[in-house]
This record gives sequence, C-alpha cells and structure tokens, in this order.
Amino acid sequence: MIRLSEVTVNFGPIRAIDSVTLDLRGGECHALVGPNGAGKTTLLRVVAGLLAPTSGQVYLRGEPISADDLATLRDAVTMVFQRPVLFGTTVFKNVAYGLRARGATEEKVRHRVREALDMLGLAGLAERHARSLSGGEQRRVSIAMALVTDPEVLVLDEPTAYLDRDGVAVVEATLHELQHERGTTVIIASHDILQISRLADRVTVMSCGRVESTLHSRDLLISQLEDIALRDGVCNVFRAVTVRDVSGGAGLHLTTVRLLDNDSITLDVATDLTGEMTIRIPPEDVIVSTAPVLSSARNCLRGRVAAIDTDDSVVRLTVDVGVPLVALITRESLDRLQVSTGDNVFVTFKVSSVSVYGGAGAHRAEMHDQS
Amino acid sequence: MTVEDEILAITLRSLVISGAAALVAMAIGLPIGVVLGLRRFRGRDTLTGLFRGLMSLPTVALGLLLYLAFSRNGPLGFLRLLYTPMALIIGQALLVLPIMVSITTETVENVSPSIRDLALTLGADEREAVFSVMRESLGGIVLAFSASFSRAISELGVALMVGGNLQGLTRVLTTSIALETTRGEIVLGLSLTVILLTLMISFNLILNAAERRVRWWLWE
Repeated sequence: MIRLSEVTVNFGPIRAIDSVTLDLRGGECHALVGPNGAGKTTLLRVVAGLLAPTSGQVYLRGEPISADDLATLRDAVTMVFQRPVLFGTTVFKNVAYGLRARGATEEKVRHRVREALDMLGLAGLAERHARSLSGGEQRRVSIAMALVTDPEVLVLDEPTAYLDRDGVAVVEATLHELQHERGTTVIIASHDILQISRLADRVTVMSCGRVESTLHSRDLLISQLEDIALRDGVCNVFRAVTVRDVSGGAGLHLTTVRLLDNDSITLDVATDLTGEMTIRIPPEDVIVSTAPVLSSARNCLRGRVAAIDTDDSVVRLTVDVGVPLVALITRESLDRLQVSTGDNVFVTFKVSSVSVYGGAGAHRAEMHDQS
Repeated sequence: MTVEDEILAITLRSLVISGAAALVAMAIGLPIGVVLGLRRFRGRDTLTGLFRGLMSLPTVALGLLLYLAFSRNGPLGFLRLLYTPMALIIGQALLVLPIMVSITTETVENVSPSIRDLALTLGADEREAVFSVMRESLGGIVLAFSASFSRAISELGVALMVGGNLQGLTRVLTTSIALETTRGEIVLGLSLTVILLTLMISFNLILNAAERRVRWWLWE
C-alpha cells in the first residue's frame, strides 16, 4: 500500500528519521513502537503526506510520490494527531469538516457524521463546543473527524492517550471494526505493548530515527513482557493455552486455560482467542483468605505463602499456588488474616479481572478471512 | 456652532480618522502578519523583532519624522498633506501597523501548524488550510484591530505634529483635551476625556459581540 525507501528527514542539524525502509501492507494494522524521540511521529507525518522527506522516496500503490505531490498521498491517508486538535466550533461541524472539504452533499454529511459519532459514543455531544469537552472526549472526536472521511489508510499517533478504560475499549473496537470490516489500513504509534498486541498485526520497533526490527506483534509482546517483568517487577504474567470453551456463542467466551509453567493449574478467563495466549492477573484484584471463599468469583486456588513484603501501608503477598502469584493487600488486611510465611491460604479472583493478550494471530486471520 | 455641536463634530472626526487608520493598518498588516506567522524564511525573525520593537514607538517621534517628510521642503512635501485629515490617517496607520502585524503574527503562529496540518489531513487544499488557520485566529485578529484602534484614537503626538489641531479640520479628541487643559477649561477637558474612554470601551464591546457573530457566520 505504502512503501518508504531509504527515507531520511532532517530538522536543521537534527536527523529525525535515518534511512528508513518500511513496507506498510494494505488492510493490516501496523504499529510503531519506540521511546520518545525515536522518530515515530515524524515517520507518521511522512506517511500522512504532511512532511516531505529530506531524501528517500515514498511510494503509494507502487507509484512514487514527489514533494510537490503530497496532496495525492493525503487523499489516501488521514492522520489523528497525538494531542487532539479541534476547530473552535461544535462537535458536529468538526466531524463534518473533512466531508465538506471533499465536497460531500449535506445529506451525506449529516448521515456520515451521525454514524461516526454513534460509533465513538459521542451521539449526545454533537452540538457541544468541541473544545469544552474532556480530554478523552476530544480524543474520540478527533478520531471521528478522521474516520468519517473513510480513508484508505488511517494513521494514529498514540490513539488512546488521555482516554479512560471505557474510552480505550471504544477506540480499540472502532479500529478493529475499521480494519476488519472496511479493510482500512491502520498505522498506530503507541507505547502500550499490550494494546499493540490486541490491535496490531505487525510491529516496527524504532530507536533514534532508525528501524530496529519489524516483527509479528505477538513475538514483540512475549519478548517485551519478559523484559518488563525482569526490569520493573511486573508480576502475575503467565503463558497459557486453551483447554476448552465453556460458554460458546459469539463475542467473549468463558474459556478454561492451562498455564504452560504448571499444567496442573487451570483458570477460567473471558476471551475470544484460542490457542496460546498471555494472561495477566492484576495483583490488586487477587483476594487472599485462610478458607475457601463462597463468592461469584470462578477462580480459587490453594497455595502457601512464599513471601511477605511490606511497603508502608501496602503488603505484597506472594503465594505459591504452583506458580508464584502476587496479591496486593493492605497492612490491616494482613493483620486481620494473621498469616505468615509457610501458611496455607486461598487466592480468589474473578474471570473479568484476568487480562488476555495476543496468542491468536492465526485465529484472528481466520476470522478476517471468514468475514 | 454651539459647544455641543463642536464636541459632536470632534468626536465623529476622531472616530472616522482613527477608524480609517486602523482599517488601513489592518489591510496592510493582516497579510504581513499571516505570512510571518505561517512561513519560515531568512530574515523572518529580524522582521518580527523589528515590528515588535516599533510597537512602543513614541508617537511624538513618529509625528516629528512625518512632519519633516510632509512639510513643504520634505521628500513628500509635494503631496501637500501636512495639517490635513489624510496626514493624520497615514500617521496613525503607521503608528498602529506594528501592533496589527505583531499580534496577528503571534496568533497565527500559535494556531498553525496544528490547524493547518489538521485541515490538510482532512482533505483541505493549501488555500482552505490557510483560511482555516485565519478562522481559528479570528480572536487574535480582532484583538489586533481593537488594540490598533484604541492606540490610534488615544494618541496625541502624531495628531498634534501632522494635524496641527486645526479647528473644524484636524482637531480630534486628544488634541482638544490637551488644548482645553492648557486653556484652563478643566471641566471641558474632563468631559472630552469621558467621551474618549466611553468611545474606546463601547467600541471594544461592540467588536467582541461582532466577533461571535462573524465566527458563527464563518462556520456556516
């Protein structure tokens, strides 16, 4: 779809992009990751036709794009910026801008704008002044402004910055729908490795303006999670494999998975993925008790307290349930439980607490093929 | 002519001369400000610095330079503009031009490039993108015009030096206030001052209301 060949961008004496060659395939979701200053935003601006490379060549569908012909590239590509940029008028007029600039009829404008606002959960805000909205709402408006033009390629710089959990879910669902139902090529820059594993097919890792590697998002996730776990002490991340689908039907399934680190441990999770996957159990969602808890939570494991680390009012309790499982509890809770290292305890957590990532690139591809 | 008629004539003359000067400054300064705000070229920083410096130009200094230029033996003496309303309009326009340019430049620079990039990526061409930048800069442009008018109507140096305070021709509110004060007519001077302040405040209130209407109209 878009190919960059030996693209270099200089800002005065600073080289922002250094001889980057990259192939962005039609219909894929391609993520750019890397630290601040890696050149992700500059690269996205080149792809979006907002910045001419200092040297190198950009190709659109195999045709070279010259510096004087960036408008051709912009016809195919729409960009959503890292900081929401909105016009000083209503949400409706903001979202309608792209359609009106392209000469759409007012009837089409009304229909498409309503559709885009519905898609991003903004239906009730159409007549509000766009700049009076919260940061998260502004972010969703800026995405609606881009997707209403139905671009072949949608470029998003940190698409879920400023968003709360629900907002992230809405945007991710929208991007998923765009890619899989409309066939839109989606290119995102993000720091969120877990988000990339959910959205992206391929990932390009950038550093100091150069492409370090391009790989499948699942491979990146596994290596990154291992790195993060080692570096930052992120815990309760396990590789697992599907044992059986409990609920069946469309959407998220209640699925039983077995941990690869200890195949005697099975857990229930909610996912539409199959095969190998990575799961994470937030330590703050793990309930510790000295006896089995009668509750709606489906996951309850028996283990032995392996370590108790106290930090001010928070206690990090590591329970060996066959694998080390960390629970964060308050000091008061520890005093009430009266447990010490070596004691038997039970750990309980809900299905909805377990985050499931990646692991089913093949499964996603199959779904796409079937659709 | 009664005193009331004379005050009304002076007030209207001030409005027309300073309004015309602000409009001339906007006609010249707006394009310069937009170009300085949008484009990067060699000498741009020097130019913006020069305009900023000229914002605080002493009115009496500009008045003296214009007096020399417009006087019979000056380089522009052949135009025979000295002590005419036109000389006042030119003088005040030159005085407020740096204000118009500097505020417009700053506003456009802050609005662009983000708005320009947004317009371009959503399908606008370069001309539409510049229009979008100017539409988003409307508040700053109105502020520039407002500041220009206020500076023009409240200045004294240029009006005295190139206008001469001729009764019925170039006498404006500020020169009248100065004249009446030196003649000991303090009450009349104060009355003229109240009129001047009322004019400036009313003008800015009307301009603010107009800005909202224009902004709404630009999005229709």
